[in-house]
Parts: sequence; structure tokens; C-alpha cells
Amino acid sequence: MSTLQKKICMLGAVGVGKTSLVRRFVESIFSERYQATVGVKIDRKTVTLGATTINLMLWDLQGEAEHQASRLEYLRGSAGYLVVADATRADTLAAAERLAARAEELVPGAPWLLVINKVDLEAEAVIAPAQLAELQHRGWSVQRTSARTGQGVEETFGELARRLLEGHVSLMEEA
Amino acid sequence: MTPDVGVPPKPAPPAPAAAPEATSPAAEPPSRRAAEPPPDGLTRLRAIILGRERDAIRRLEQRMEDPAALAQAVERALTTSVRRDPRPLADALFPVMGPAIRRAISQALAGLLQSVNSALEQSFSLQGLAWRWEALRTGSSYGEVVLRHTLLYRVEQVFLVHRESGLLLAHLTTPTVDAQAPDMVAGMLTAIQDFARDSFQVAQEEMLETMQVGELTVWVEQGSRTLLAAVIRGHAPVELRVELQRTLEGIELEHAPELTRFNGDASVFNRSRPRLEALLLMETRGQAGAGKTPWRTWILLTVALALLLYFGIPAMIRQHRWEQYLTRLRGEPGLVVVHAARENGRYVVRGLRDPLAGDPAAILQQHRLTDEEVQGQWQPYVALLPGFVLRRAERALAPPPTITLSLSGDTLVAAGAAPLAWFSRAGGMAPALSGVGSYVEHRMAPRELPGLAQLVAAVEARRVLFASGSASLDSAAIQEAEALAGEISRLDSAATLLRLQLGVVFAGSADDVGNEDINERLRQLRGEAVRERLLPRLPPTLLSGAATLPPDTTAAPDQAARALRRSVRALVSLPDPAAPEPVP
Ligand SMILES: Nc1nc2c(ncn2[C@@H]2O[C@H](COP(=O)(O)OP(=O)(O)OP(=O)(O)O)[C@@H](O)[C@H]2O)c(=O)[nH]1
Ligand SMILES: [Mg+2]
Repeated sequence: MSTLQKKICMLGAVGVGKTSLVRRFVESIFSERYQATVGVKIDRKTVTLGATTINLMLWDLQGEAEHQASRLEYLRGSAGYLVVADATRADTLAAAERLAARAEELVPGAPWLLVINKVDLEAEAVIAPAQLAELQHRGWSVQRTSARTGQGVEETFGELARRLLEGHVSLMEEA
Repeated sequence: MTPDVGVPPKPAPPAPAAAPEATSPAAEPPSRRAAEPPPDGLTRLRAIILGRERDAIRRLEQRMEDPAALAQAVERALTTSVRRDPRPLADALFPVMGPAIRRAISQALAGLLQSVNSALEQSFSLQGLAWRWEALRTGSSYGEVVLRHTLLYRVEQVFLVHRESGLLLAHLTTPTVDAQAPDMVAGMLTAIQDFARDSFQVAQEEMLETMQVGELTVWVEQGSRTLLAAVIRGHAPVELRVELQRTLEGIELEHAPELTRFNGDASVFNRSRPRLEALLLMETRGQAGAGKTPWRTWILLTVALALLLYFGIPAMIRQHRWEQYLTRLRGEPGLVVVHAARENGRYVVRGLRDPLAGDPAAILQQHRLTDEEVQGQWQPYVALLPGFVLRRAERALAPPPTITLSLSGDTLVAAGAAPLAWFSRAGGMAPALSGVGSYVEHRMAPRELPGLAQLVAAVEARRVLFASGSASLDSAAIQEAEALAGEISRLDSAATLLRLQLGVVFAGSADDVGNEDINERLRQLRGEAVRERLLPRLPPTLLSGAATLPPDTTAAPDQAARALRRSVRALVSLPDPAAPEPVP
């Protein structure tokens, strides 16, 4: 039985629901009130995978504003990350693509998932399934979540944790 | 560490560094060849086939051995490495440079600090009085109060954080502190660093070193791979900062390999817990070291010396006198020292004392000690030493001066003249005296007492001679009478000393010639003549009267004997002494 710590970052445009996803995952709470994150907020959630306990340190970063690319210093040392987009705002997917590219440069090879959030708002959804299929075709892993209903949240973080552990084990074998 | 540390991107072009050789290959080989022995076939073949490579190797060898050429290459390599990424080199040097730089700085500061410290301490003297008062008031020790006011601080938590990921490597708290989510705090500690750097646009190596949160202060030290943060309550001294740096350096050095490939498993850093625990104990160390300054030590030493001189030397003198006193007491007959010691700040001597022995108090005075300093406790006892037995007998029996007491073995001997009553009393008491086994008397008549007997004989041997039928003193008779008076005086003095009452009678005698009536008359007249003559010379009490001796009826054998009968002589009477007055 071993305990690991892993740093995970939440990336994405402003208001896509990064903070909401973390709260749902950590505290099982959802709030309609929007409170923009400034800088970074850190949370912890412990997950168990087989014989391994992983303390996920969740770094919820400030959302990227429209005209200003956010600084990604906080991404340093991350074992993995989630890039979040809002299903009701097309531009957030574009922002997600930009962020994913920059993140790949900063932490090359780190596992990550693309998260399409707010899927509960089906009526307002603007991101077409075909668009997502195209991204998946590129080799991206795409998750559909709702912080509000909790749909896909556990699965998303669980999947990332699983990938982190895989990476960890292969790294150990290398060493 | 990245694999390309110190390796230049491309092999350095040989031309600039090898410039001297580049011009000389033509000149060099012939001169060498001249020195070598004539080559055989194989050697020649080798020279033909490997010639170019051999020269190249020789050139390389020379460059390797030339410090100047080597320095150029290393410089280039370092410059390239730093330009590409300064981190690897900084990482490599950090554990080495850190201590050296810190030592240099701390030395420079030491002098300044010292003067500041002593100035502070002197200005604290009034404060010190106030604290003393507070200690008295609150019933706590002075030390406690000082600590409460000056260096009271406590390192409550220590965080060792992986700088890059913000993950917690180790966290320690003091027992009473209840730390909330230290792993999140660890993340925030690094995030805050980035945030601060970002906000104030300072260099990557600048950092947020101190944070104040209410009563708590957070001190952060940054190494190449880790952050060390201490959460402090109170006012910590600068030494703690130094200690943080030193601890951090030690940990980075110890864990260099684990830190470069850290991927979330912090268990290996348990090895560093003792170092971090030492930081939690810093409060006591810092306090104990405070206030230790040379001038204080000097004052203490001086005071101690003064105290030693003031109290110590008199004490040494006292001790010496005490020892002398004891020696004297032990040698004193009739005193037995049973116990001698120092008790409750004064000397105490206990023992036995014969009432006839020397007085310990008087002896104490002779040794210049007071009864404040020495307390004597004496129990009476009876000493059986011969001297004491005799003195006790003298006290008890109170013999007259005509008695001599002596001790032979345990036999008490009383010799001399004394009233019967004295003898009977002495005979009763003496055997009962302690130390006296038996009692013996030698009773004597007073005139037999040694010393008196001769004087008596001398007086009674004198004859004041008269002419036939005469009762007047001629010149020879006067001379003899004077001589007699001298003898009597001498005897009287001796008798007085022995408290004996001397009596003298001048007894006249006559020869056998002539009328007996006349002779009787002559005897009387002759005695009175001498008495008359000596009366002014002797105390009257002594001279009880003239006496006549009875006629000597025997026939005188010759003229000389007959002339001797015409004379006066002194007859001595010494009654037994009067009973002595009892001695108090
Ligand atoms: N309906 C719905 N609303 C959501 C969901 N997730 C978030 N929201 C709402 O979206 C708004 C923004 O959510 P946040 O979680 O604060 O978004 P964020 O990405 O953290 O925003 P920044 O920190 O400013 O970048 C809030 O009002 C949330 O209530 C979701 O899954 N469904
Ligand atoms: Mg947020």
C-alpha cells in the first residue's frame, strides 16, 4: 500500500466551470453563483486505485480571458491536467485547443483530458458531436460532464488518476 | 539533471585553440624523427598507415595537458550551458556555494551584530529591574519573565515542499498544534511565490521570504528544488533564518537524486525528518544562547573573585585557627574531644571535661576565635591522670602547708605535721577519692619537718657565754647573741610559712662552782640579759620569757666544759599546727 501525491491543473476559459467541477468532485456541491477565480485555488481529493492511494492536489487556475492569454506558471510540476470547455460557448473550445497546445509544451507527455462541461444545458449546446469526434480522431480524450448534475465528474477525474498511475508505474519501471 | 550538462552543442572547432600547432606540423615531425632511433620496417609501415592519426592524437594530448587551452574549452562549455538553461549549473553549485556565501556574509555581520547586541543589553538594565519586579509579583522565576519578554518564539510547523509541483515532501508540527491540510498549504506556498513574482515582475530567483498571518509569521527559504517554510509564533531571531538555510542545503544535498526524479512519492523524505525536527526545537536553543556575552561573564567572574576574597580568605583563616584550637584541645589533659565538625555555618566541638582541666573558653580566646564561631559543648567527667588525682586530693583534703601529698602508683601519701583532726579526716576521705587506691600517712612533729629540723638545730646549737660569776654580755657574747637572733629570725620565717607558731625561751645556765643560790640567780640574770639584748630585734610574741635551766649536777669534766655551762641558749617550741581553714 503506497501513497502518492499528484498535482493536477484545471485549465480553460473564464466561467467554463473549472471551479464548479472541483467542488462537485471534492465536496459534492454545486452552486449557481459565479465567483471568478483569481490566481489559483488548491484543493485535495484522495482516490484509491487498487493498492495505491493517490492524493490529487487540484490546482484550479484562473480562467483564460478573451483577449489575454493567461500565464501558465502554475502548470509547472503537474502530473496531468484537464482542459475544460463550456458546451454552450463555442469560443471556449477554441481557447481549450490553444491552452492544450501550450500545456503540451510546458509539461510534455503529461496525461490530460478535454472536458466539455455544462452538458446538462442540452438546449443551449453549440458544440456539435461531429466536432468532438474530429478531436477524438486527433487522439484527444474527450469527456462530457456536468458540474450541476455530477454527470461524468467522478469518471473524468478517475480516468485522469488512472492515467497518472499508469504513467507513474511505467516511469518506475524505467528507473 | 538534464543529460546535456556541460556538454557543448557541437564539438569545438580545433582551429582557434590549436593555432600554434596548426603552423608547425611541418617543422615538428622532422626534429622528432631526428631524435628517434632508425626505424625498422614495421615501424615505418606503421608511420605510413597511422601517421595522420598519430599526429592528431599527439596534438590532442598536448591540448589536454595545456591548462590554458583546457580553460578555454571549459569556459566555452559553461557559457553555452548557462545560456541554454542556467538551472542545471545552479543546481550543481547550489549546495557548494550556499554555505560559502553564507559564511562570508555572516562573518561580515558578526562584528556589527555583536556591538548592537551589547548596546541592547546595556540599555536593558532598567528593563531588567522591571522584570525582576514582575517576577517577584507573579511568583515566577526571573529567567521565565525574561524569556517571556524577549526571545519567546516557537516554530510550530515546518513544511518541506517540492518547488516545481508544490507537493508536500515533509511536514512536522509541534505536538499541540493542529495543522489544517498541510498538503494544500504546501501548494499555496509555491503558488504564492509564483503569484508574487508575477505581480511584482521580479527575477525568477527572487522570492517571498516572509509572510505575516495574525500572530504567525511564515519564513520561507528556497533551494534549487525545494522550499522550506517555517510557521513561527512570536519573534524569531535571525539565527533561525540561518538555520533554515542550513537545513535546506543539507536536505538538498542528501536528497539530490530523489529530488530530480520526484514523482509524487514523498516517503523517501522521511530520512530528513530529524533535521526538520531540530528546527522545531529551535525555540529552546535560541533562548539558551541569549545573553551570553563576554562582559557579563567577566563581571560574574570578578564578583565571584571578590566574594572569594571577602568571604573565602577569612573563612580560610578561621578554618586554620579552628584546626589549631582542636589540636590544642586534644593535647590538653582532662579534655577529651568526642566530636568536632562544621554545622550550620559554625564550628561545633563536643567532649568531656574534668572540672580541673583547662578552660576551653579561655583556650578559644587564646586562638582568637569567638564563641559565635565555635560552639563548645562539654560534659563533666573525672580524669584519672596522676596529676588530676593529686589535685583532686589536695582540693578534697585541704592539707596544711606542713603536709606534703604525693602519689606513688595509686597510693596517696600524706607526709608531715598536721592536727590530729586533719589526719583522721584525711584517713577517712582519701581512699574514697577517685583514682586513689590506698592511703598512707607519715606523721611528724613540726620540728622534724624537713627544712625546719636544721633551722631548729642551728638555733638550739648556739651558746652565749659569760665570764665566771657575771651576767653581763661582753663583746663576744653580744656577737653570739646577734648571730642567735639571726638564726631565730630565719626559723621564724620558715615557721610562719608553714603557719606554725614559734616560741623561743632564753634559758640560762651556770657552772657548778660556788654558791647554788648565787648560781640560781646568775642563771636567771643571764637569760634575761640575752632576752633584753635581743628584744628589739625579734617580734615580742615570739619571746615567751626567760627561763632558767635546772642546775647541772654532774661534775664538769674540765675547764672548757665548765665555761660552756656559764651560758644562755635558746629553746624552741613548735606546737602542732592549727587546723587549716576549709578551702572553698
Ligand atoms: N448549468 C450548469 N452551470 C454550470 C456548470 N458548471 C458551472 N456552471 C456555472 O457556471 C458559472 C461559472 O462557473 P465556475 O465554476 O465558477 O467557472 P470557472 O471556470 O471556475 O470560472 P473562472 O474561475 O472565472 O475561470 C457558475 O455560475 C456556475 O454555476 C454546469 O455543469 N452546468
Ligand atoms: Mg474558477
